[in-house]
Amino acid sequence: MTLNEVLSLHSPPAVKEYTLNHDDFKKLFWKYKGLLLDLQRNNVFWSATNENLKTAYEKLDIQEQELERAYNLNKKYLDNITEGLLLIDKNLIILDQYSKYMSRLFLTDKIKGCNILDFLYPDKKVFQKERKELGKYIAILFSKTLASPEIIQEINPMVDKTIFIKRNNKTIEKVVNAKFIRIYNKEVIEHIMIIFEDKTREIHMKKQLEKEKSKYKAEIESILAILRSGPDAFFDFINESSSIFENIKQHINELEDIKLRNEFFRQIHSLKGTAKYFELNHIAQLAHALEDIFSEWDKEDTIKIKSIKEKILKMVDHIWNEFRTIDKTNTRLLKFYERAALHGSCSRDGKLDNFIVSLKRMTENLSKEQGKEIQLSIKKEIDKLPCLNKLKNPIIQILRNAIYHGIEDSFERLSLSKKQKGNIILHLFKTDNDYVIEISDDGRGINFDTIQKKAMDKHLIRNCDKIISKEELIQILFSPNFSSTDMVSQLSGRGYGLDIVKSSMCELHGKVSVATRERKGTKFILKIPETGKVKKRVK
Amino acid sequence: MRILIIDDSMVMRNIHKNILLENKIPEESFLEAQDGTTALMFARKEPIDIFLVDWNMPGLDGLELLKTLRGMEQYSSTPIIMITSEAAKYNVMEAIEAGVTDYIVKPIKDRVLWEKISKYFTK
Amino acid sequence: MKAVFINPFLNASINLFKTFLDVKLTNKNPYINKDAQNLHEISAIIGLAGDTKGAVVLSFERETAIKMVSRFSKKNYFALTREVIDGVGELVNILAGNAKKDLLDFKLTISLPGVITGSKYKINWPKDVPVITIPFESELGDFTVNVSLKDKD
Repeated sequence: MTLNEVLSLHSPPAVKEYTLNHDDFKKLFWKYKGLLLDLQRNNVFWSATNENLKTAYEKLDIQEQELERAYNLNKKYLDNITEGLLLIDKNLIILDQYSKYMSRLFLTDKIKGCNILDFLYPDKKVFQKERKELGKYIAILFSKTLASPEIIQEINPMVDKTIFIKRNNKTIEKVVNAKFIRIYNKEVIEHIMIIFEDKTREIHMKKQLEKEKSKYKAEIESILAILRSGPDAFFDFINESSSIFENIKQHINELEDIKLRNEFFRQIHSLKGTAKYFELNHIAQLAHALEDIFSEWDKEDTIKIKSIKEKILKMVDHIWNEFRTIDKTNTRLLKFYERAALHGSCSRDGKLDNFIVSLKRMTENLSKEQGKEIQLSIKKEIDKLPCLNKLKNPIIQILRNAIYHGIEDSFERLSLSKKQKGNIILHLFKTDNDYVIEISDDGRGINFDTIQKKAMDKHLIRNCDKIISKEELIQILFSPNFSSTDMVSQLSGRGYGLDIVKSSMCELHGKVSVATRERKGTKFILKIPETGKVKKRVK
Repeated sequence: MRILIIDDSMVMRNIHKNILLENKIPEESFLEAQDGTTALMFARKEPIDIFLVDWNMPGLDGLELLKTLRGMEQYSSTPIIMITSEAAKYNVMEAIEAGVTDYIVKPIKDRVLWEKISKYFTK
Repeated sequence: MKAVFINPFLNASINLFKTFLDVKLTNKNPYINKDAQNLHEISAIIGLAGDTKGAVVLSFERETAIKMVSRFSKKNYFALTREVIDGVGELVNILAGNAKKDLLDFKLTISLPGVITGSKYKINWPKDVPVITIPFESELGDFTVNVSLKDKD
């Protein structure tokens, strides 16, 4: 075996004698020397590499520190910014990092990992449209990079959007604005940043401002109203209302009695009607709110009933306060009137005429409010009506019904080839025994099918095969709890209106009848016996 | 620069042209087409740099033209600006989905129109 | 036919003629047009289709049409040329397209405008749907915007 052969082996050869000559030693020496050099060279290389690695590590360290600083800064930013900031990926999933404000805005900590659609609109059925719209919009943000930011903003579905947040059985309404920003990684849109802004307060403030304005308006309103109708009428109204409120307060713990509740509801409704007639819109609004509280009544829920009672008392006090303000103004104005009357410059007679003037004004105002054009014509063959004060309310109710339900809006009228302007005629005359008040309109007439359907829905009649006569349906129309339209408006429409007519007429021993033709109009006829004859009948 | 104005109304094409002329775009850069099919023919014959497209046109309408152009390699990212009377939100959505670059609802004052589209002419 | 359907056309007309073209005008009360063939000399019509159907007709006297298009195109026309007719068509197209924005109940497509002239033409209005006419008085002459739109079933 030669030395070369031995050296090429990896492990010592099997024991075998071999001799090394001088040349071999020489070769071996140089081989050894070569290895040493290699080693030295390697050493230098490694130490250099080591040095490199060290600096690399140091650099990494610095970078890490920077990153940490950046992260902290980022976190501080995300913790303190008062905007809901988050990132979503292509699958609409919310990423881990988001601003702390998100939790405050949406009242939850379950944010990361959620699908943004589920997060904003958990109810898939109710918000199907909103979910689809937003999903489509985000898809466009990811894919349609050519479209200018302006037009993409134009179709942003989250502008002053009301969302409903359900937490602990409560639903909280918030108005939010969202900005959407594309986050690029090189050429590709990797994420979308969404920035939510809470507009609830701003909108709330706007409403508040409107409230202040309306308060101011209310004051002016009451002064004008008193000036128009004279303080006398007002004292009646204030006294009447005061006794209603006193009654409610006294019997607050007996409201479980549905009869009593209905009676109060009717009285409040009537009060609302009178307020509207006086053009005291703020009082009408409050009365409407009080009605709303009454209709929240749920006999099953005792806790709720307790809170409703509290709300009723609070609202009654609130309205009564408003009345007191009116009362003060009224007293002041009355003094002024009396002084003026002394000088003979002011007459408080002619009540029927005053009433008619105010009906005209009411028609004008209400039809404007309804966006309708209505003319009220008066045919007056008598100079006064007995018990005018008690007749005012039913007349007002019928007139309001005609304006609100009877007369169609201009376009509907045009479509039906009717004159654009609706007509209501108030005819006052006397027969041998009775005073007659006829109120007729050329509106849509009473739709008996609708009444029948409504009455069935409200279980006022049973869903049976029997054909219900028109007379019966009209009876239903005059019964409490019936409303012929779905829209609960402040004017009328809760159905109590005609109920009031009926009860007032009963009180006066009068009669009420209705004539109606579909698409042609409706006529209400109120008949009350002459005062003297009433007395006879009573006896 | 080659600008293709596509509108079936001659009056409308003239209005657009005048706005561009007033803003120093030379007349020789305009090409006009009165429907989508003619526009497509032009676009295949020579490279177009900007398209101004109406939506409602006989034959191939603006939206179809837009889709066809975006399907062509050559025009996959060319500015295609829709100038239309179609103001409904769902129309804007549809145009964006078809790949529109900008969407302008007419009537629009000359100055405002130029403010909106000038950026595509300086590139 | 409800008021909510007319208002978008009224607003689009005011936006186009008053705001954009700066024509001094007042709109009179809309009315139901019992003789909907009784229009001015030049009428531009556009059909509406989709969730419901209907039509819009913009109707001018010859002089008004010429003046209106002159203002629109910033070019003076003195006769009823092809360009004027083209311009009247464009005006009704803008009117209908803009009105769609507020017709939120429906998704609609609009047809190409057609312009008819003369005194004996007949318009194929949708059957059994009344035509509402909005009359305008303007410094360039009177004109009408006529709309017929079927209620959604």
